[in-house]
Amino acid sequence: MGPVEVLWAVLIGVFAMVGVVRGYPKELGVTTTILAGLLLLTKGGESALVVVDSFLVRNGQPSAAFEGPYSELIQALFYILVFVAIVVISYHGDTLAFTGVPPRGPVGMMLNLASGFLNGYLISGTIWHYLHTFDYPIQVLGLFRPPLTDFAQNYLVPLMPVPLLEPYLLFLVPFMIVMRVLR
Amino acid sequence: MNLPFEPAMLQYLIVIATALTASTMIGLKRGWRGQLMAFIPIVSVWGVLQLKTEALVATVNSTYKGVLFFASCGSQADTSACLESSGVAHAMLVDPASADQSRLLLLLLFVSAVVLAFTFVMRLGRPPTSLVQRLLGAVLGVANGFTLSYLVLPLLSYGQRVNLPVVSATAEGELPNIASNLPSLFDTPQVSVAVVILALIVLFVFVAVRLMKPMEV
Repeated sequence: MGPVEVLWAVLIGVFAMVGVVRGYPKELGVTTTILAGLLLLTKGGESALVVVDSFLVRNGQPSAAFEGPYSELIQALFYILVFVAIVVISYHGDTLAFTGVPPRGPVGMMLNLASGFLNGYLISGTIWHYLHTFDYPIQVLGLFRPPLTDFAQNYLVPLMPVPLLEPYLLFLVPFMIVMRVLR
Repeated sequence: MNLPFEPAMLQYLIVIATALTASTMIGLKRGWRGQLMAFIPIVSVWGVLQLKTEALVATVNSTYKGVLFFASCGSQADTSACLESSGVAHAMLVDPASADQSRLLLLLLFVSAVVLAFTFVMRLGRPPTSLVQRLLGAVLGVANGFTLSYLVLPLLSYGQRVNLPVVSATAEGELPNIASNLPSLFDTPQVSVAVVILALIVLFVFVAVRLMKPMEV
């Protein structure tokens, strides 16, 4: 597997194309759900993991999530799978899609592209963040081996969305909902 | 966790982004004619400023002395005595021996000229008649944005410390080390990057929602 930032860039490109095809009213609905999902994971993710782990311990199983050789893989998978599930649900329906159609011409095209790019940044950046936080446990599966390239370490890791946006999620999620209602 | 962007780098990025955005907007709104209307005076002003820096500093100081003279000695009977006693004779707004002060003066004048040129073109220029002209203006705007950055960057205060305009393997290699060589007082806090990203998201959502059209029934 090549540098992880290549995969990150490809994912963002794919989501940007998806944005162009679907149109930004639908993409903004996905953005709202993603931000809500991030709020859920950052505020309650660890608590949920503790509850699941303590349930397993109570039933005679050893703590797998916080101890043992695969604890980091399990924690990373927990966050990533929950997040991916949220993303899949948000793309699957029109639940939070904004009502309206994009303007015609290059302006509409640019907005569609930008919304797809934003979602790509949020989705692939979040997945990368959880892999990074848990020291890339996918290396157990032979998928990737650190270290990161200098470019990724110096310029891309500081731009991961979760640590940057975490303090503002409590503002961003209501903002998106208000914008949808105002629309 | 701090970004490796130290203030000089951040300053450069802000200048480049602002120049590119403004110039491209002018190109989109006023086409290639607007670009020419804006950039011929801008480049001319830059040339004049570069050639006549000393004369300019002298003019600014003379004007400053004149204003001081009228403010301090205008009502005095013995103006020559007042001239010496009040220190007006030796007063200077810009020290010709100080390269920093001269550069700051040039920067102020040049930025004012750019703002004036852009404002005039936006007010007096005509919008392009076709999409092709608009796009041509935008392309020319991007090129001129880089030109504008190239003219402004050497006038910035960090210009003498970091040779960023020249892209080379050596400069690239040295970039991450620049931050460690500056005092910790100048560290760029991570919050500024977060706020920029937050502002971009909020701005994008706001604009996108405003431009959204109602669904056709």
